[in-house]
Amino acid sequence: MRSRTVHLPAGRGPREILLAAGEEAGRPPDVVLAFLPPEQRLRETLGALTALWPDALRFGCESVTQFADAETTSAGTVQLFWLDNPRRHRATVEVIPGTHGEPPAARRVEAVARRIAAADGALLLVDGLRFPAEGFLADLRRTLVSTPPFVAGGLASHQEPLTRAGARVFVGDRVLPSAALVVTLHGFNMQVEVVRGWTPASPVYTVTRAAAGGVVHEIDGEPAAGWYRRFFTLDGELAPMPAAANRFPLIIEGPRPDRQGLYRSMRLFDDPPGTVAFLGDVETGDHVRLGMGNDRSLARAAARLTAGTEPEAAILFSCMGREAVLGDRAGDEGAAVREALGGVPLSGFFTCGEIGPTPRGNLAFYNLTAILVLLREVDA
Amino acid sequence: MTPGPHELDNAILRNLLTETTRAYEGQVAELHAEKELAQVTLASIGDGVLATDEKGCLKYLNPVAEKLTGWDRAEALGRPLPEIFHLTGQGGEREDIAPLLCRCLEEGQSFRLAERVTLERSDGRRYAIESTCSPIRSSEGRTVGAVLVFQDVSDKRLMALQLAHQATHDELTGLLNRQAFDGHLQRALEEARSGATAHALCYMDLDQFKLVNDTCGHLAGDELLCRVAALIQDAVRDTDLVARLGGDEFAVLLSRCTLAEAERRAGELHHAFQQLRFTWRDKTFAVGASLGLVPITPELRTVAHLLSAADHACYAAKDKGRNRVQVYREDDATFVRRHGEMSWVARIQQTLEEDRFRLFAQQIQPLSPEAPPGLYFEVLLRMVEGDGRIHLPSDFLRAAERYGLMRAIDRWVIRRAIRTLRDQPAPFLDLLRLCAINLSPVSLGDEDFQDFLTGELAGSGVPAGKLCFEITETAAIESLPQAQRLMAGLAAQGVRFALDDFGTGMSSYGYLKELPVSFLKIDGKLVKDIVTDPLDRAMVESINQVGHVMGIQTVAEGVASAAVVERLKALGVDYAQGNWISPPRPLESSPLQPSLPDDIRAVPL
Repeated sequence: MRSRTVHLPAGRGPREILLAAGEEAGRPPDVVLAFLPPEQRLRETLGALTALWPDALRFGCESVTQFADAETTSAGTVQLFWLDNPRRHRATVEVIPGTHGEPPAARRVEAVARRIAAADGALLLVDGLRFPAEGFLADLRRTLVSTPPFVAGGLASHQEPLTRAGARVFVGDRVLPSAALVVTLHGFNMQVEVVRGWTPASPVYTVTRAAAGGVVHEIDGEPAAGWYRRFFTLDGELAPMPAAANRFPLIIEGPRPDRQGLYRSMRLFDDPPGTVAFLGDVETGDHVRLGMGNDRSLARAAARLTAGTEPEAAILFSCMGREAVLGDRAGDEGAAVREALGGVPLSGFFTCGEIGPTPRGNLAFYNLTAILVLLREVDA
Repeated sequence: MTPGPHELDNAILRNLLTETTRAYEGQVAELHAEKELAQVTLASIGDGVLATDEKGCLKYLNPVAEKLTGWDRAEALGRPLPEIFHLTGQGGEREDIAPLLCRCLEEGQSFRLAERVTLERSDGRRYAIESTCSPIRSSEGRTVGAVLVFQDVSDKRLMALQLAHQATHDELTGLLNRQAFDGHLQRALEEARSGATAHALCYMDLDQFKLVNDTCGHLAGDELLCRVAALIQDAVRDTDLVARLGGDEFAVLLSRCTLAEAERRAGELHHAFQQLRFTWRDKTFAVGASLGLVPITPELRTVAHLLSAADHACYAAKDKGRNRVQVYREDDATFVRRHGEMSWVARIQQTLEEDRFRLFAQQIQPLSPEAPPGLYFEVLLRMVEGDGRIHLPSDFLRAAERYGLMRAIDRWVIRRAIRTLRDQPAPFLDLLRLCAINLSPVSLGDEDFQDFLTGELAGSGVPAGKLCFEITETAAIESLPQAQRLMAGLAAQGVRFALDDFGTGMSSYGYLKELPVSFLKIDGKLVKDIVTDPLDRAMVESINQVGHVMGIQTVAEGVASAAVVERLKALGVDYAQGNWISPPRPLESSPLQPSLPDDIRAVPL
């Protein structure tokens, strides 16, 4: 397989840049993966891709910040793939349409699960606002009776304030709000790494009351908001929440092994009063603690990655929460990954949540991690 | 001024640090409390606890361990466990704990110390202990030391020894008991069979024990047995084994002893018995013993044979006048006769089981015209063998008495007699004046006998007053207190008693005042020559006169002619009994029909 990442710099039309990149291989790419900012840039780029390579499998999602090899950009990135033998190595995209916030029907989930089980790996790109990604993953986990092949991906991100656009997925030239894409891969070796970079910063506590939707009522018998106030009140003033709290993510430390090592970003604080809501689920009985990290620790974690078995392409799904912590050094993470991989073509974006495996092989919904997907064609 | 992100983060981190420190302090306090609790617990339990590190050096010992090892905590900590934990095995040999500890630490194996080890304290004092040693594992499963838990089981082991002693020894005298002695006899027999060595068994039966027991009570009897036990132990060698086999029977296994040597030692024992004077309050008894001596030879195949031979020898010693030593010899006439008795035992038991005893009745004839008319007779026992042969009591009663069968025979006779009387057609019971039944000395001393008789009479319709038990003068005197009790009890119910065979034994009129006797049965030996022998006639006359003075009626036994009857009538004897008057007839099969000479008044039935 040959791959190339195309950085679409602001101020230049995407068509010329893409055309130049596509001609290098002497034939049109077989697969085109794009992470694009919304609105005008999205429409221009999708139009160009359709015009240039109408027969290629084209898909991707909206995002605010993208990775393009060692660069971090907000103008969009496109990764082109030329497969050695499209009969043996192929990718298939299935669209799970929007359900207005409800998880997909069980029959649909079962069909998807069957396809994933038969594949060598799968990428999930999900509307980051309107599709119930966590519920879908939970249903998928239950349906995939045995340990699934690698499944990784991210939730499309959006800019504040939110408009109708943003956080959507697209296939071909169609932009699909409230949908998810399941890309199954055949004839590939897919490797997934979970990058963390946080260290424990508090004793372990127990969630004593939690509800669906990541709402936590009590930690160690104390209202969850009060529990947070103990740490985040400075000179009698509460630090800005939830922004300050997301620099100190909630780490789930068990006791269930399949929940060990999950991270959670705070979504709402003291709303309703006393509660704290997270982007991912938190269950009653979870053992939790606060973690801490900074731009250096997150970048160091990325730099510690190893390339594994000679990947031919890489895709990075890093959490927007990490982007916030990295601040001015947001580009360091992508650059560190790129360097660690030794120049493997890399694309990706900062997500609204990541999908990846737990150490025990289960599907998990993460916050505040970076999920790196490494791909290499293999003969069956 | 609003803090920047770094200041904010640092401030939050300070809060987290404070909270973490507080939490860890709390956890440390909890751990400390748990450690305190664990230490208090370990200090409070009754077991000794030692803990070592992974090299086997002591890291902890609780107060009980300090006490049992004799090591002070400060001195012991850090030392290798084998240095302070000294064990000795059952035989007193040193047992090294180091190999076991190594296996525990290196292979992670728990072990339990062998039974019967003792722990030697630093001052030399020893404790019987039970102990287990287990590896201590870290949370990763690595063996980081060993813990040895041990208990002082000295009391428990002592109790076990005491129980074992109780199981093998006689509680009263402390001598070996029958069961334990049998084991030693078995080994002696095996050695005899292998020709390795010669042993002998000396069996002893006290001659006056019953007298002491009856006249002075059980406390005195027990004291006498203890004195005898001490006497025997003093008289034998340390290598000899002394046992109390039961009651007043003792035995000594004379180990590695020829017959000649055994005879000499038995003689010394006999001499010691002759010297023994037992005093209880104001009474002094000369306590003799009959000794049976048996050389243990291969011919005696089993312990039962051996004990039987010893019993025979002892019995022979008694038979020859008591208070002597009798050596067992297989072909001795005495023992042959005893063997004969033994064969009777089996036949009696079989006869009882097969209900082949039969009752006969012999008429007793009133000689006085004033005697109330009616039926008088004595019940007599006969043994019917499987082939129809009939044996008189004289054939088997000796064996029955010797081997404890008289109680069963007495009860069979009484039960059958009462049922036969009950089953006779009317007006038999109205006519019955006296049914005399012989009662053995054993039943005379049987405390359950009165209840038995009451039970048999109940509902039978036979009045107690129709029965008369014949007891021998000797039996009554030998068990005088019991006999008095039983006779008084039965007499109160209406039962009468006759002294049987009176006049030929150690007859003493004095006893007549002690016993509620209604009849004296004059021994037939005095009666048969009454016509020709003036001395016999004088004795019969004397007995008759004394009896009458005391209100006791007389019965002449063994009457064999009309002349004797005439003379008895002349002397005023009340009743006569004998084959000439009426031979015994089966009680069950034919109605009692007196066959009397013409000159005797017939008694209507």
